[in-house]
Amino acid sequence: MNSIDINIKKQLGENIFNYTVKIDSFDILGVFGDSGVGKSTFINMIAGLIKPDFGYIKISDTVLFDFENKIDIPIHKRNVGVIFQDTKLFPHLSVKSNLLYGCKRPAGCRSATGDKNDVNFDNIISVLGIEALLERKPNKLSGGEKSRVAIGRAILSRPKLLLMDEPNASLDSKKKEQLLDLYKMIATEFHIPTIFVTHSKDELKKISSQTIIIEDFSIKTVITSDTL
Amino acid sequence: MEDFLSLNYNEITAIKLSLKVALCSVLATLPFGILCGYVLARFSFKGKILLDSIVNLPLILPPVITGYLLLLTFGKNGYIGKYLYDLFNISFAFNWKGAVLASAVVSFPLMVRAIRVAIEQVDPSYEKVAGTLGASKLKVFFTITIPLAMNGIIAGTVTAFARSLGEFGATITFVSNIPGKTNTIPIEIYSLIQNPSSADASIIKLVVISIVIAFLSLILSELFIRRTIAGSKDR
Repeated sequence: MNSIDINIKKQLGENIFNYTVKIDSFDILGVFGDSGVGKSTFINMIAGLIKPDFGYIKISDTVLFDFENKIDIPIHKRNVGVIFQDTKLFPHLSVKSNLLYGCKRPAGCRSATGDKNDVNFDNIISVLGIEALLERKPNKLSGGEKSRVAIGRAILSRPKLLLMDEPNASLDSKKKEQLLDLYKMIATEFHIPTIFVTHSKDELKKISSQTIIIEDFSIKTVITSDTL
Repeated sequence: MEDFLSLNYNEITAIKLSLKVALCSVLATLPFGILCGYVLARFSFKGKILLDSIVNLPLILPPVITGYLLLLTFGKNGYIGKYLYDLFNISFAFNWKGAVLASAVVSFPLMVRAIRVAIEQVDPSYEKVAGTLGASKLKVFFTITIPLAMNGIIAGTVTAFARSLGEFGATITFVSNIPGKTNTIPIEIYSLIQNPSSADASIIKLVVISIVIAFLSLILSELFIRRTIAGSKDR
Protein backbone atom coordinates (compact mmCIF):
# COMPACT_ATOMS: atom_id res chain seq x y z
CA MET A 1 0.00 0.00 0.00
CA ASN A 2 1.39 3.42 -0.97
CA SER A 3 0.57 5.89 1.73
CA ILE A 4 1.94 9.16 3.06
CA ASP A 5 1.51 10.66 6.49
CA ILE A 6 3.18 14.04 6.86
CA ASN A 7 2.98 16.70 9.55
CA ILE A 8 5.88 19.16 9.40
CA LYS A 9 6.71 22.78 10.14
CA LYS A 10 9.62 24.87 8.95
CA GLN A 11 10.55 28.52 9.23
CA LEU A 12 12.62 29.94 6.39
CA GLY A 13 13.23 33.67 6.74
CA GLU A 14 9.88 35.25 7.61
CA ASN A 15 7.79 32.47 6.05
CA ILE A 16 6.40 29.61 8.09
CA PHE A 17 5.81 26.44 6.08
CA ASN A 18 3.19 24.09 7.45
CA TYR A 19 2.37 20.80 5.74
CA THR A 20 -0.13 18.32 7.17
CA VAL A 21 -1.49 15.57 4.97
CA LYS A 22 -2.47 11.91 5.28
CA ILE A 23 -3.33 9.84 2.22
CA ASP A 24 -3.87 6.10 2.44
CA SER A 25 -3.44 5.05 -1.14
CA PHE A 26 -2.20 6.58 -4.39
CA ASP A 27 -0.31 5.88 -7.60
CA ILE A 28 0.27 9.45 -8.66
CA LEU A 29 -0.48 12.23 -6.24
CA GLY A 30 -0.71 15.75 -7.64
CA VAL A 31 0.58 18.85 -5.88
CA PHE A 32 -0.93 22.08 -7.16
CA GLY A 33 -0.27 25.73 -6.37
CA ASP A 34 0.88 29.01 -7.88
CA SER A 35 4.55 29.88 -8.19
CA GLY A 36 6.31 30.62 -4.91
CA VAL A 37 3.69 29.19 -2.53
CA GLY A 38 5.94 26.41 -1.22
CA LYS A 39 5.53 23.46 -3.60
CA SER A 40 9.25 22.86 -4.03
CA THR A 41 9.92 23.28 -0.31
CA PHE A 42 7.40 20.49 0.34
CA ILE A 43 9.20 18.20 -2.13
CA ASN A 44 12.66 19.15 -0.81
CA MET A 45 11.68 18.29 2.75
CA ILE A 46 10.42 14.84 1.74
CA ALA A 47 13.67 14.23 -0.19
CA GLY A 48 15.77 15.37 2.77
CA LEU A 49 17.23 18.41 1.02
CA ILE A 50 15.64 20.74 3.60
CA LYS A 51 15.30 19.69 7.23
CA PRO A 52 11.95 20.46 8.94
CA ASP A 53 11.98 22.19 12.34
CA PHE A 54 9.27 19.95 13.79
CA GLY A 55 7.05 17.00 12.96
CA TYR A 56 7.31 13.74 11.07
CA ILE A 57 7.35 12.30 7.53
CA LYS A 58 6.14 8.74 6.98
CA ILE A 59 6.09 7.16 3.54
CA SER A 60 4.23 3.82 3.45
CA ASP A 61 5.79 1.92 6.35
CA THR A 62 9.02 3.93 6.52
CA VAL A 63 9.69 6.88 8.84
CA LEU A 64 11.96 9.33 7.00
CA PHE A 65 11.91 12.05 9.63
CA ASP A 66 10.63 12.26 13.18
CA PHE A 67 11.65 15.24 15.28
CA GLU A 68 10.53 13.77 18.60
CA ASN A 69 12.27 10.46 18.13
CA LYS A 70 15.33 12.12 16.56
CA ILE A 71 15.02 10.25 13.27
CA ASP A 72 16.43 11.97 10.20
CA ILE A 73 17.37 9.50 7.46
CA PRO A 74 20.15 11.07 5.35
CA ILE A 75 19.32 11.94 1.72
CA HIS A 76 21.25 9.07 0.20
CA LYS A 77 19.52 6.47 2.38
CA ARG A 78 15.94 7.71 1.90
CA ASN A 79 15.35 5.93 -1.37
CA VAL A 80 13.37 8.87 -2.64
CA GLY A 81 14.03 9.79 -6.27
CA VAL A 82 13.72 13.41 -7.36
CA ILE A 83 13.29 14.80 -10.85
CA PHE A 84 13.92 18.52 -10.99
CA GLN A 85 12.58 21.02 -13.47
CA ASP A 86 15.91 21.39 -15.25
CA THR A 87 16.74 17.64 -15.15
CA LYS A 88 20.27 18.19 -13.75
CA LEU A 89 21.88 15.43 -15.76
CA PHE A 90 25.55 15.16 -14.81
CA PRO A 91 27.28 17.11 -17.61
CA HIS A 92 30.57 15.18 -17.46
CA LEU A 93 28.97 11.75 -17.84
CA SER A 94 27.44 10.04 -20.86
CA VAL A 95 23.73 9.23 -20.91
CA LYS A 96 24.58 5.63 -20.07
CA SER A 97 26.72 6.61 -17.07
CA ASN A 98 24.00 9.00 -15.91
CA LEU A 99 21.46 6.18 -16.06
CA LEU A 100 23.71 3.79 -14.15
CA TYR A 101 24.79 6.33 -11.51
CA GLY A 102 22.16 5.33 -8.96
CA CYS A 103 22.45 1.57 -9.50
CA LYS A 104 23.77 0.04 -6.33
CA ARG A 105 25.03 -2.90 -8.34
CA PRO A 106 25.39 -1.96 -12.02
CA ALA A 107 25.00 -5.58 -13.02
CA GLY A 108 21.68 -5.69 -11.16
CA CYS A 109 20.36 -2.80 -13.22
CA ARG A 110 21.34 -4.50 -16.45
CA SER A 111 19.95 -7.96 -15.82
CA ALA A 112 17.09 -8.75 -18.13
CA THR A 113 14.72 -11.05 -16.29
CA GLY A 114 12.21 -11.31 -19.11
CA ASP A 115 9.58 -9.69 -16.87
CA LYS A 116 8.70 -6.47 -18.69
CA ASN A 117 7.56 -4.78 -15.47
CA ASP A 118 10.93 -5.34 -13.79
CA VAL A 119 13.04 -2.22 -13.20
CA ASN A 120 16.20 -3.05 -15.12
CA PHE A 121 18.38 -1.20 -17.59
CA ASP A 122 17.12 -2.87 -20.78
CA ASN A 123 13.45 -2.49 -19.88
CA ILE A 124 13.75 1.13 -18.85
CA ILE A 125 15.70 2.36 -21.88
CA SER A 126 13.28 0.59 -24.17
CA VAL A 127 10.19 2.02 -22.43
CA LEU A 128 11.71 5.51 -22.52
CA GLY A 129 12.90 5.10 -26.11
CA ILE A 130 16.43 6.28 -25.37
CA GLU A 131 18.45 3.32 -26.71
CA ALA A 132 20.07 5.49 -29.37
CA LEU A 133 21.25 8.17 -26.94
CA LEU A 134 23.41 6.08 -24.59
CA GLU A 135 26.82 7.30 -25.73
CA ARG A 136 25.88 11.00 -25.95
CA LYS A 137 26.72 13.72 -23.46
CA PRO A 138 23.76 15.60 -21.92
CA ASN A 139 24.58 18.84 -23.78
CA LYS A 140 23.86 17.00 -27.05
CA LEU A 141 20.28 16.14 -26.03
CA SER A 142 17.02 18.00 -26.67
CA GLY A 143 14.80 19.09 -23.77
CA GLY A 144 12.45 16.12 -24.16
CA GLU A 145 15.35 13.68 -24.38
CA LYS A 146 16.88 15.12 -21.20
CA SER A 147 13.59 14.61 -19.37
CA ARG A 148 13.46 10.99 -20.47
CA VAL A 149 17.02 10.31 -19.34
CA ALA A 150 16.37 12.05 -16.00
CA ILE A 151 13.37 9.86 -15.31
CA GLY A 152 15.29 6.75 -16.35
CA ARG A 153 18.14 7.67 -14.01
CA ALA A 154 15.75 8.21 -11.10
CA ILE A 155 13.86 4.96 -11.67
CA LEU A 156 17.01 2.84 -11.98
CA SER A 157 17.99 3.86 -8.45
CA ARG A 158 14.86 1.88 -7.48
CA PRO A 159 13.19 4.57 -5.36
CA LYS A 160 10.30 3.76 -3.02
CA LEU A 161 8.84 7.14 -3.92
CA LEU A 162 9.41 9.39 -6.92
CA LEU A 163 9.11 13.17 -6.60
CA MET A 164 8.66 15.20 -9.77
CA ASP A 165 9.08 18.95 -9.42
CA GLU A 166 7.50 20.52 -12.52
CA PRO A 167 9.40 18.22 -14.87
CA ASN A 168 7.53 19.53 -17.92
CA ALA A 169 7.89 23.25 -17.32
CA SER A 170 10.38 23.87 -20.11
CA LEU A 171 8.80 21.67 -22.82
CA ASP A 172 6.31 22.39 -25.61
CA SER A 173 2.76 21.06 -25.32
CA LYS A 174 3.16 18.11 -27.69
CA LYS A 175 6.18 16.79 -25.77
CA LYS A 176 4.33 17.36 -22.49
CA GLU A 177 1.48 15.14 -23.65
CA GLN A 178 3.86 12.30 -24.56
CA LEU A 179 5.74 12.56 -21.28
CA LEU A 180 2.58 12.64 -19.16
CA ASP A 181 1.52 9.33 -20.69
CA LEU A 182 4.98 7.98 -19.96
CA TYR A 183 4.95 9.13 -16.31
CA LYS A 184 1.55 7.56 -15.80
CA MET A 185 2.66 4.33 -17.37
CA ILE A 186 5.82 4.18 -15.26
CA ALA A 187 4.01 4.83 -11.97
CA THR A 188 1.48 2.06 -12.63
CA GLU A 189 3.46 -0.57 -14.57
CA PHE A 190 6.62 -0.36 -12.50
CA HIS A 191 4.73 0.26 -9.25
CA ILE A 192 6.56 3.43 -8.23
CA PRO A 193 4.33 5.82 -6.27
CA THR A 194 4.86 9.32 -7.58
CA ILE A 195 4.24 12.82 -6.27
CA PHE A 196 3.84 15.17 -9.21
CA VAL A 197 4.20 18.92 -8.69
CA THR A 198 2.86 21.39 -11.25
CA HIS A 199 0.96 24.62 -11.66
CA SER A 200 -0.99 23.23 -14.63
CA LYS A 201 -4.51 22.00 -13.82
CA ASP A 202 -4.75 20.22 -17.18
CA GLU A 203 -1.69 18.11 -16.42
CA LEU A 204 -3.11 17.06 -13.08
CA LYS A 205 -6.51 16.16 -14.51
CA LYS A 206 -4.73 13.89 -16.95
CA ILE A 207 -2.23 12.26 -14.64
CA SER A 208 -3.48 12.09 -11.05
CA SER A 209 -6.70 11.16 -9.29
CA GLN A 210 -5.99 13.13 -6.10
CA THR A 211 -4.31 16.50 -5.71
CA ILE A 212 -2.87 18.37 -2.75
CA ILE A 213 -3.56 22.11 -2.90
CA ILE A 214 -0.82 24.36 -1.49
CA GLU A 215 -1.48 28.02 -0.71
CA ASP A 216 0.54 30.47 1.38
CA PHE A 217 3.17 27.89 2.41
CA SER A 218 0.55 25.44 3.76
CA ILE A 219 -1.49 22.49 2.54
CA LYS A 220 -5.06 23.78 2.27
CA THR A 221 -6.87 20.64 1.20
CA VAL A 222 -6.78 17.42 -0.83
CA ILE A 223 -9.30 17.12 -3.66
CA THR A 224 -10.03 14.78 -6.54
CA SER A 225 -8.21 16.16 -9.59
CA ASP A 226 -11.38 16.27 -11.73
CA THR A 227 -12.80 19.04 -9.56
CA LEU A 228 -9.77 21.32 -10.12
CA MET B 1 76.40 30.02 -30.18
CA GLU B 2 76.96 26.30 -29.71
CA ASP B 3 78.03 27.07 -26.20
CA PHE B 4 74.79 28.89 -25.59
CA LEU B 5 72.69 25.90 -26.61
CA SER B 6 74.57 23.36 -24.52
CA LEU B 7 74.21 23.29 -20.75
CA ASN B 8 77.00 22.65 -18.27
CA TYR B 9 76.81 20.36 -15.27
CA ASN B 10 75.79 23.07 -12.77
CA GLU B 11 73.05 24.35 -15.01
CA ILE B 12 71.62 20.89 -15.61
CA THR B 13 71.75 20.14 -11.89
CA ALA B 14 69.90 23.36 -11.07
CA ILE B 15 67.20 22.69 -13.68
CA LYS B 16 66.72 19.07 -12.60
CA LEU B 17 66.57 20.09 -8.95
CA SER B 18 64.07 22.86 -9.67
CA LEU B 19 61.77 20.50 -11.55
CA LYS B 20 62.06 17.85 -8.84
CA VAL B 21 61.32 20.34 -6.05
CA ALA B 22 58.38 21.92 -7.87
CA LEU B 23 56.89 18.54 -8.83
CA CYS B 24 57.18 17.11 -5.31
CA SER B 25 55.82 20.33 -3.89
CA VAL B 26 52.60 20.30 -5.96
CA LEU B 27 52.07 16.55 -5.57
CA ALA B 28 52.44 16.80 -1.80
CA THR B 29 50.13 19.81 -1.48
CA LEU B 30 47.44 18.78 -3.98
CA PRO B 31 45.32 16.66 -1.59
CA PHE B 32 45.45 19.42 1.04
CA GLY B 33 44.75 22.05 -1.62
CA ILE B 34 41.63 20.20 -2.80
CA LEU B 35 40.43 19.66 0.77
CA CYS B 36 41.07 23.26 1.74
CA GLY B 37 39.45 24.63 -1.45
CA TYR B 38 36.41 22.40 -0.87
CA VAL B 39 36.00 23.45 2.75
CA LEU B 40 36.33 27.15 1.88
CA ALA B 41 33.94 26.82 -1.08
CA ARG B 42 31.21 24.69 0.47
CA PHE B 43 31.07 25.33 4.21
CA SER B 44 30.47 28.31 6.43
CA PHE B 45 31.79 27.99 9.95
CA LYS B 46 33.28 30.02 12.76
CA GLY B 47 36.87 30.86 12.01
CA LYS B 48 36.50 30.57 8.22
CA ILE B 49 38.02 34.03 7.75
CA LEU B 50 40.91 32.97 9.97
CA LEU B 51 41.55 29.80 7.93
CA ASP B 52 41.28 31.81 4.71
CA SER B 53 43.79 34.35 6.04
CA ILE B 54 46.27 31.73 7.23
CA VAL B 55 46.17 29.97 3.85
CA ASN B 56 46.72 33.26 2.01
CA LEU B 57 49.32 34.68 4.39
CA PRO B 58 52.39 33.43 2.47
CA LEU B 59 51.07 35.33 -0.57
CA ILE B 60 51.65 38.72 1.04
CA LEU B 61 54.20 37.96 3.75
CA PRO B 62 57.79 38.83 2.77
CA PRO B 63 59.27 35.47 1.68
CA VAL B 64 62.20 35.95 4.04
CA ILE B 65 59.75 35.89 6.96
CA THR B 66 58.09 32.72 5.66
CA GLY B 67 61.55 31.15 5.39
CA TYR B 68 62.50 32.27 8.88
CA LEU B 69 59.27 30.91 10.37
CA LEU B 70 59.92 27.60 8.60
CA LEU B 71 63.40 27.57 10.10
CA LEU B 72 61.97 28.17 13.58
CA THR B 73 59.36 25.45 13.11
CA PHE B 74 60.95 22.80 10.90
CA GLY B 75 64.66 23.42 11.41
CA LYS B 76 66.62 20.67 13.17
CA ASN B 77 66.03 22.38 16.53
CA GLY B 78 62.64 23.79 15.51
CA TYR B 79 59.40 23.28 17.43
CA ILE B 80 58.24 20.49 15.10
CA GLY B 81 61.46 19.69 13.25
CA LYS B 82 63.09 18.49 16.50
CA TYR B 83 60.46 15.78 17.00
CA LEU B 84 60.36 14.83 13.30
CA TYR B 85 64.10 14.23 13.46
CA ASP B 86 64.08 12.39 16.82
CA LEU B 87 61.08 10.20 16.07
CA PHE B 88 61.19 9.60 12.31
CA ASN B 89 64.70 10.73 11.38
CA ILE B 90 63.14 13.20 8.93
CA SER B 91 64.97 16.47 8.49
CA PHE B 92 64.04 19.45 6.32
CA ALA B 93 67.11 21.47 7.25
CA PHE B 94 69.50 22.34 4.43
CA ASN B 95 68.37 19.68 1.97
CA TRP B 96 66.05 19.45 -1.04
CA LYS B 97 63.10 18.35 1.13
CA GLY B 98 63.30 21.70 2.86
CA ALA B 99 63.17 23.41 -0.52
CA VAL B 100 60.03 21.37 -1.28
CA LEU B 101 58.46 22.50 2.00
CA ALA B 102 59.28 26.16 1.35
CA SER B 103 57.88 25.95 -2.20
CA ALA B 104 54.78 24.17 -0.97
CA VAL B 105 53.98 26.80 1.65
CA VAL B 106 54.51 29.69 -0.74
CA SER B 107 52.58 28.21 -3.69
CA PHE B 108 49.73 26.73 -1.61
CA PRO B 109 47.54 29.88 -1.61
CA LEU B 110 47.59 30.06 -5.42
CA MET B 111 46.54 26.42 -5.68
CA VAL B 112 43.75 26.81 -3.11
CA ARG B 113 42.40 29.94 -4.78
CA ALA B 114 41.98 28.28 -8.19
CA ILE B 115 40.46 25.12 -6.69
CA ARG B 116 38.11 27.07 -4.46
CA VAL B 117 36.78 29.12 -7.39
CA ALA B 118 36.37 25.96 -9.49
CA ILE B 119 34.39 24.20 -6.75
CA GLU B 120 32.26 27.29 -6.14
CA GLN B 121 31.28 27.13 -9.82
CA VAL B 122 30.00 23.56 -9.48
CA ASP B 123 26.21 23.84 -9.17
CA PRO B 124 25.37 22.27 -5.77
CA SER B 125 22.15 20.82 -7.18
CA TYR B 126 24.22 18.19 -9.05
CA GLU B 127 25.53 17.08 -5.66
CA LYS B 128 21.98 17.02 -4.27
CA VAL B 129 20.69 14.95 -7.18
CA ALA B 130 23.54 12.49 -6.70
CA GLY B 131 22.51 12.22 -3.04
CA THR B 132 18.91 11.39 -3.97
CA LEU B 133 20.29 8.65 -6.25
CA GLY B 134 21.84 6.99 -3.21
CA ALA B 135 25.40 8.33 -3.38
CA SER B 136 27.13 8.97 -0.04
CA LYS B 137 28.83 12.33 0.54
CA LEU B 138 32.21 10.74 -0.19
CA LYS B 139 30.98 9.23 -3.48
CA VAL B 140 29.42 12.56 -4.46
CA PHE B 141 32.72 14.31 -3.75
CA PHE B 142 34.79 11.97 -5.91
CA THR B 143 32.31 11.31 -8.74
CA ILE B 144 30.60 14.71 -9.09
CA THR B 145 32.40 17.57 -7.35
CA ILE B 146 35.99 16.71 -8.26
CA PRO B 147 35.34 15.83 -11.95
CA LEU B 148 33.25 18.98 -12.47
CA ALA B 149 35.97 21.11 -10.87
CA MET B 150 38.80 19.23 -12.63
CA ASN B 151 39.86 21.99 -15.04
CA GLY B 152 40.20 24.46 -12.16
CA ILE B 153 42.11 21.91 -10.11
CA ILE B 154 44.58 21.39 -12.98
CA ALA B 155 44.87 25.16 -13.52
CA GLY B 156 45.64 25.63 -9.82
CA THR B 157 48.20 22.85 -9.87
CA VAL B 158 49.98 24.28 -12.91
CA THR B 159 50.06 27.77 -11.41
CA ALA B 160 51.41 26.38 -8.13
CA PHE B 161 54.04 24.43 -10.11
CA ALA B 162 55.17 27.62 -11.86
CA ARG B 163 55.26 29.52 -8.57
CA SER B 164 57.34 26.71 -7.01
CA LEU B 165 59.87 26.96 -9.82
CA GLY B 166 60.27 30.65 -9.07
CA GLU B 167 60.54 30.28 -5.30
CA PHE B 168 63.59 32.09 -3.94
CA GLY B 169 63.24 34.09 -0.73
CA ALA B 170 61.74 31.52 1.62
CA THR B 171 63.92 28.76 0.18
CA ILE B 172 67.27 30.53 0.55
CA THR B 173 66.35 31.64 4.10
CA PHE B 174 65.21 28.17 5.15
CA VAL B 175 67.67 25.84 3.42
CA SER B 176 70.39 28.22 2.21
CA ASN B 177 72.32 27.73 -1.03
CA ILE B 178 73.97 24.33 -1.22
CA PRO B 179 75.15 23.22 -4.68
CA GLY B 180 73.38 20.05 -5.82
CA LYS B 181 71.05 20.10 -2.81
CA THR B 182 69.19 23.38 -2.59
CA ASN B 183 70.42 25.49 -5.51
CA THR B 184 67.29 25.65 -7.65
CA ILE B 185 67.31 27.82 -10.81
CA PRO B 186 66.65 31.18 -9.04
CA ILE B 187 69.19 30.41 -6.33
CA GLU B 188 71.78 29.35 -8.92
CA ILE B 189 71.19 32.59 -10.83
CA TYR B 190 71.56 34.55 -7.59
CA SER B 191 74.89 32.91 -6.75
CA LEU B 192 76.18 33.43 -10.30
CA ILE B 193 75.35 37.13 -10.03
CA GLN B 194 77.19 37.31 -6.69
CA ASN B 195 80.33 36.04 -8.32
CA PRO B 196 81.75 38.69 -10.71
CA SER B 197 83.92 36.19 -12.55
CA SER B 198 81.04 33.99 -13.58
CA ALA B 199 79.90 33.84 -17.17
CA ASP B 200 76.94 35.96 -18.18
CA ALA B 201 76.00 33.28 -20.69
CA SER B 202 75.10 30.90 -17.88
CA ILE B 203 72.86 33.49 -16.23
CA ILE B 204 71.10 34.30 -19.48
CA LYS B 205 70.53 30.62 -20.27
CA LEU B 206 68.89 30.02 -16.89
CA VAL B 207 66.87 33.23 -17.19
CA VAL B 208 65.58 32.21 -20.63
CA ILE B 209 64.71 28.70 -19.40
CA SER B 210 62.87 30.16 -16.41
CA ILE B 211 60.88 32.53 -18.60
CA VAL B 212 59.96 29.76 -21.05
CA ILE B 213 58.79 27.40 -18.29
CA ALA B 214 56.83 30.14 -16.51
CA PHE B 215 55.26 31.30 -19.77
CA LEU B 216 54.20 27.78 -20.79
CA SER B 217 52.75 27.15 -17.34
CA LEU B 218 50.69 30.33 -17.42
CA ILE B 219 49.36 29.57 -20.91
CA LEU B 220 48.47 26.03 -19.86
CA SER B 221 46.78 27.26 -16.70
CA GLU B 222 44.83 29.92 -18.64
CA LEU B 223 43.65 27.29 -21.15
CA PHE B 224 42.25 25.13 -18.35
CA ILE B 225 40.56 28.11 -16.69
CA ARG B 226 38.89 28.95 -20.02
CA ARG B 227 37.74 25.35 -20.37
CA THR B 228 36.24 25.59 -16.89
CA ILE B 229 34.28 28.71 -17.84
CA ALA B 230 33.20 27.24 -21.20
CA GLY B 231 32.22 24.02 -19.43
CA SER B 232 30.07 25.77 -16.84
CA LYS B 233 28.26 27.66 -19.64
CA ASP B 234 27.61 24.36 -21.37
CA ARG B 235 25.68 22.97 -18.44
